[in-house]
Amino acid sequence: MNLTFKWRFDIKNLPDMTTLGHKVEAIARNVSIGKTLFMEKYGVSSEREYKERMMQANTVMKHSAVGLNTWQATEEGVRKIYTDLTNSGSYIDRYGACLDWVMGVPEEHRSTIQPGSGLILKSEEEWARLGQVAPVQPHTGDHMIGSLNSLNNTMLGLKAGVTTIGNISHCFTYEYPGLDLEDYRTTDMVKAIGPMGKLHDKGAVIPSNLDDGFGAQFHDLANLVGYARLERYICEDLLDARMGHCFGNLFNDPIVRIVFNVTMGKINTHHTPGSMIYGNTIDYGHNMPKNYAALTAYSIADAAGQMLCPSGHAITPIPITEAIRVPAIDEIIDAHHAVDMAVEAAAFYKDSLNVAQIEAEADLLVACGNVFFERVLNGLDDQNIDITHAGEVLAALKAIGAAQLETCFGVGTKEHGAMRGRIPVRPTSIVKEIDRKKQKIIDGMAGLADLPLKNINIVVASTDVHEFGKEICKNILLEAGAKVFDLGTNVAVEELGDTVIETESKAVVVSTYNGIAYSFARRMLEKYAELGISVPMIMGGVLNEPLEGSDLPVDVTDKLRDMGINVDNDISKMVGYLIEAIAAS
Amino acid sequence: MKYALTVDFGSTFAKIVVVDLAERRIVLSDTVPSSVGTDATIGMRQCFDLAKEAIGPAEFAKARKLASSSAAGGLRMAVSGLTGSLSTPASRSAALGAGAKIIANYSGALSEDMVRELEESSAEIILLCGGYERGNTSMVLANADMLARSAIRVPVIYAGNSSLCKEVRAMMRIHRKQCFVMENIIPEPGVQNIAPTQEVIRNLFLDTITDMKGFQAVKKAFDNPLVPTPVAVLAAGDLLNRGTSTTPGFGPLLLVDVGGATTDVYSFNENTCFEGARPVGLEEPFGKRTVEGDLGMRESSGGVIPEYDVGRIAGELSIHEDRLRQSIRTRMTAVNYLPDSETETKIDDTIASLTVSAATRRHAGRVIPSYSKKCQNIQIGKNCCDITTIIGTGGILVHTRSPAKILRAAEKNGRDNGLLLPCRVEAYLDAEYVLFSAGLLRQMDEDVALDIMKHSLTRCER
Repeated sequence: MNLTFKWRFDIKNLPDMTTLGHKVEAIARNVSIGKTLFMEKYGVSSEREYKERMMQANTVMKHSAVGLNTWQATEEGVRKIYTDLTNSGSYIDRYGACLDWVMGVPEEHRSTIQPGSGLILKSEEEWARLGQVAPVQPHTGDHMIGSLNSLNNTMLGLKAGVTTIGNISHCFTYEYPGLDLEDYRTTDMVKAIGPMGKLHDKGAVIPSNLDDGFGAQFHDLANLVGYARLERYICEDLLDARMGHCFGNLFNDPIVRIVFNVTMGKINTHHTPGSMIYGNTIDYGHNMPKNYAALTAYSIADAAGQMLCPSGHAITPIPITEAIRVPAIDEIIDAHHAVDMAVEAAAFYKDSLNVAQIEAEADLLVACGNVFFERVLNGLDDQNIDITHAGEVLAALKAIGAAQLETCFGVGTKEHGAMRGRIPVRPTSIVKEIDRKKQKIIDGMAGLADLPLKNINIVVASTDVHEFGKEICKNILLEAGAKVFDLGTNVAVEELGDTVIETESKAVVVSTYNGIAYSFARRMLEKYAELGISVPMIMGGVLNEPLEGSDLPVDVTDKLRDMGINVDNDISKMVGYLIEAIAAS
Repeated sequence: MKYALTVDFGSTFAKIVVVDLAERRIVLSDTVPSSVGTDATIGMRQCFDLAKEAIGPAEFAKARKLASSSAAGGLRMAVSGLTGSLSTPASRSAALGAGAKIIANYSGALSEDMVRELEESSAEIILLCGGYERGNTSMVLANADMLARSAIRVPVIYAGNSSLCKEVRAMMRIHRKQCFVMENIIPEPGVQNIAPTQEVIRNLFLDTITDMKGFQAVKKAFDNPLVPTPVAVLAAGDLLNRGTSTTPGFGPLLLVDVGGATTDVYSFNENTCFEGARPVGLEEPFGKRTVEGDLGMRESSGGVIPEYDVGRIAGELSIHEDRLRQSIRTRMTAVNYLPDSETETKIDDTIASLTVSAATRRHAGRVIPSYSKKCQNIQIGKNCCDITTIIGTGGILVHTRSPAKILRAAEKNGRDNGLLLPCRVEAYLDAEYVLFSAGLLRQMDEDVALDIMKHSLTRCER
């Protein structure tokens, strides 16, 4: 097994857990949980207490994210949502305050970064207002635990009466460019999770949205379950906190949403109520009627799921404009009304669902997830990582990355040529979608069985994190008999050129999505000239880039074609082009 | 056994360090002129005499005896790979980590001129690499053919694409070249496999040493197979960084050995991504060694102060340009020259500072902006920013009045855009030549090896 760690700092310099434990004790002694209007109205001391009551009563709860950029606008928005919904006979239980990324950075470093479009709470008073606008329980997830400002924000949140404070997954995927404080970040995170642990019997819960972090990068749901157990291991087993996993953005199969909810329940050893199930945003686009249908389709499933297996998760009506702009308050209210209808309908569906099959699927995912979990912990232990040290485990998982975790410790059957070398036990929605597309292209191509690219070496790469376009190309090239050298994602020109030589490749296939097609191609051709190579190159994906000082990307297909690059952007034509181009060169 | 006796057979001196194992202290540290070029046993006897005097003949007889050697200035190697970021640096890394000195390195197709240069060079081993597994064959085969048909008479190690092993071996046999075929040094993208090649380099090192006069006797007098000096220093630096289970180490450190002809730089730290930059090229080793053959105090002083820089540096020293030119000429020809005036001492200090500055800058990696501001920066080479300690060794540093100033020339300054060196380091001196000794002792007792380093290295105040 070849495991490469991309260390950001030396983890052996982290303070030991005993020292951190003393710090956590000291911090926890000074923490008090505030009281929100919501708690007063329902006579509870935490959101957890309320949720447990609702689970008993089998009531479906609802959540909305409010992403406005000033406190004043947020306050008005929350009040309007609550009032309008209540007046129309609907309801909302909780709202998520979407903090700006500036909030994830300690005060002394804030001047170095440009504020975004999220909410910036300027004072302790503004924090305290989070729960005093309307009886809707606030939730803070963005730029809290997992950011560079974990401890400070957690303390302010608790004081304001927020008892559900996330989001572990952010530590793996959120970056604050220009601020390299990973060691501080790791320690600060442990210091924030610790007091949440000390307050677990008072209802403190740490959510983690799997789809925000590494979760979105796994291809196999079984590994995702094992990964969720790893997060639980860090927060619950090592730091005595309580966790709730959030998911949903990247799950478009309604039944898989129900199965996954049941699965999450099975690994939830402390029976901690979840925060919310996020809406399926894969199917959202520019077509509003379609978006409405997507909204109802997933919310019927989520509501039925809660009726079958109450997990404490609120369901989330995603406004149909989510994919095209920051939704207006009225659009959030509209989505709630649509979901109210879906909840009514779900009650009819739930009794006809095949519960035994759902349970069996969930059991399979848990069993396989447990294997992944054990493999990773054993693997870390083999690499001299102290698996009893929460900070070391966090930093090590981050240094390994989701793709390697899956390749090295994944549970699917090994198969050469498969993505990440294994066939997923249960593919994620995105992987299923990709497989479907790939098969459709292969079925439509003639002559692949004759292996027209037999023994021809070809390099494939992606310029960014997107690997699916590259994977489809790779699989088709393998079907055509080529020997494929896959450089993976985020590939730099510097390594591509030299790899062409070391592999004696006859062509280069590059997938790109991040709006750098022109710069990449130009640097690549400079590198070709420098190395004296001239093999055909195909670029596909999103061929655009902001040019000449503009912020808006423009199409660069013609420019690339003029440079001699193949820009058909049609995978079904790739093999035909390569046969001709390689013969010609 | 109360004592351990360690000797390093260098090209200028033979160094002896005797350690009291129970008390964990150095009882003798001394040097005698090197006799490696004539008869190694002369220097060995002188060292042994010093040791007998220090601990008495009875203890001397019982003492554990360990030796290292730089084999008359280092095992000279030439490396040939295909590309500047993959097979060539991998072969350099293998050679340097095994203690060799690289006198020529080629990337890409070997030309007639390059082969002629190789034939005329003093290389003792040639390392030929290139191609991933299932990868390049044509250029590697062409390079092998050029070497096979050349007049080279030294062993060739082949550590390239394994599908060519048979052909390369046959080619070399037909042309009567000694050839060792090793596992591919870069088997697949992102993977480096240098250990097998280093093993064969170390074996060839021992063969080369043994052929030198006196070394047969030397070999018998010591309890260990001779270790290349840089390998001992790599072991010592690694230990000094990490510490043992009972004693903490120094953490990330740099080590600079400024010699007359060459300057060695070692870094001991985990390579990390600078501010999330994307590392390209090969994996950087924890203990990394680079050797600069054109930077040094005497033979190589002309490389330190090239002609175009003479004016500026003479100005800084407030001397005439011709005076500086003359001083450099003296150093390049009279390699045993010692400064005989205040000005000459200052010139030595300046050369030393410039050497440390240039050698550490070549050793460390750098971050360069990507082709688009939307992408991560690109990191080439090793990130040395977290290094907090620099240790100097070599005559100039031991004898100068301002070692700290010279060593701190390694610190990053305002002009070093993107350079991955630390902004501030604590400087230490290895005045007792404890590093090679600790590296040898490490095999016996890590705690003793670490303790003698920690006691012997002195912090430079100025």
